[in-house]
Amino acid sequence: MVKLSWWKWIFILLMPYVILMGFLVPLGQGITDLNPFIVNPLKINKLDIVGYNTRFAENQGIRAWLKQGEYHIEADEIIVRDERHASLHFTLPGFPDTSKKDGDLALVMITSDGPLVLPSAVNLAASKSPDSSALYSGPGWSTDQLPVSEESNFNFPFRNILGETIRNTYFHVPLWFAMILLFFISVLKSIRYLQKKQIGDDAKAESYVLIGVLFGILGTVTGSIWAKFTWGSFWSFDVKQNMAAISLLIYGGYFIIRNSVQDPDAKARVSGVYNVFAFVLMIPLIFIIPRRYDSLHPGNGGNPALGSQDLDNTMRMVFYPAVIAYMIGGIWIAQLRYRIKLIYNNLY
Amino acid sequence: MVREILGLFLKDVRTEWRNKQAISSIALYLFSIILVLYYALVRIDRMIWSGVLWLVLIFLAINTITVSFSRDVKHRHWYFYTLTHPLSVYFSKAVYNLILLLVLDTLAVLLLGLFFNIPVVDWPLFMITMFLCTSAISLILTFVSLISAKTGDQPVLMTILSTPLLFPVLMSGSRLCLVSLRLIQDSNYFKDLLAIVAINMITFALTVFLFPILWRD
Repeated sequence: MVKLSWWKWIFILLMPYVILMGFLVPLGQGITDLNPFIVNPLKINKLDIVGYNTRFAENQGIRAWLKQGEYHIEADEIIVRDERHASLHFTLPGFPDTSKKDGDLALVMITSDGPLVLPSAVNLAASKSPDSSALYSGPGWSTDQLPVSEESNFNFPFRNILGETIRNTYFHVPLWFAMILLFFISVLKSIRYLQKKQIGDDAKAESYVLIGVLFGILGTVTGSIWAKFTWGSFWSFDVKQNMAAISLLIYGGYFIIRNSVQDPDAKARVSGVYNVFAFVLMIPLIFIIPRRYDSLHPGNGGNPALGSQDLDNTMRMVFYPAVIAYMIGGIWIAQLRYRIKLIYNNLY
Repeated sequence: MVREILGLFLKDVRTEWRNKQAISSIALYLFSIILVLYYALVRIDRMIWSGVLWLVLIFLAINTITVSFSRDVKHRHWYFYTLTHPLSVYFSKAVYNLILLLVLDTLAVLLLGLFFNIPVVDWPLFMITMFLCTSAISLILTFVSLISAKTGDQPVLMTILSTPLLFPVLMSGSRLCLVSLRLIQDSNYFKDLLAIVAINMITFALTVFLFPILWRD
């Protein structure tokens, strides 16, 4: 029987959980396409919608509203074609808000699987008829509370651009958290080496930096694949992408220093000092400078951070275990690498 | 300690004054690169001017500071080690590099203005930016040059190590430079100034802690 420390069992339990849950939990229902984009007042507007993971044909009692602010109007007729396609007929009595001449309307639907919301779904075209001032009046629009319940199913939320790629949250984001932790541990080991001069601490620091760089490369690769599907290109010179590349370059310098010094003590001292120096200079690079620039990443440039929009409760159930699992996994790999290095040094 | 710093600083200035090696070679480099720029670009508009300035400044800094420790022969380090506190060695070098770089930066801006023009609008901001960036660059590069001296004086190491480490300074600095040329509007630019001041202080604190460890052999 293999005897393992207790924290390794946490990794062994969490990692399969993260992978299984990350890939197997279905996405919630969403609307991927809607046609046409513009609706006209005082006419019957037919909106064709395409759903994702929806079950229109099986569901009974589907209702739909167009909503602007507190005003909303219900669909006259809903024609379901199949599970994913439906046609909604709206007769708009005019403009809901007399102060606004046009504006975006959100589409809200309820099905027995839960609510469906598409913000800024259609645009209400301004009327060009001469007596259009009569249109700008409230009647016909209701201000009652919509019967949308906030019941949450065991689903990952459907986001319009992300789609199924939202699962990458459990693989791309924890890699960065784990990388920072590994670099931090290696700095602690380097400081310990500089104080106590035990050559083993230096070898540990090197292993942690190596695995940290590995995690950083993996984070960059998973990030650029994700970027290809959501932002359109593998590398879009986003400030966080650039900062990640620069910090990997900084740690590349660490290995160049190690390779260019022969004497083991001098190697340990110079690279230990550089490790501390590089880590501290990396802090403004990662945490201060990106805030001054617009970024496509969540949390920058007006995009919401890891809030309710990005992480709902179902996602938290996978995301936090994923962060813990990657951190423990990184430490474990680094320790194994250190032991392999020890064996190698003793053999040759 | 102040006397030690002053003594070591004057020693560096005197060596430089006797052979004028660094200043003349760098001035030659500056002059030739501006001639190359003239023939390659003919006319420099404001957008390119900022980029050219920063490229010239980086290479000036790296070329100047590379030699700051490897110029002294090896056993002279021993001599300093027995005589003085390690930090006074570091600060004398850093102050010397800062002053040398400030002279060279002024020369670079003047030469760019002579051959092309100086499109700076906000002079106080430009001067503050130049001073803060130069001090951060000289603090960081003085330390990196000691690292490269301790690894056996490979000149390529200095370039490889310093460029990524200088990146935060260069990002904020070039942004502030663009603001001072009025190429971008940014009412919040003092946050970039704060970032550079923070980098200066972080580097200062780090080197106080790390330089003595690296200095003794």
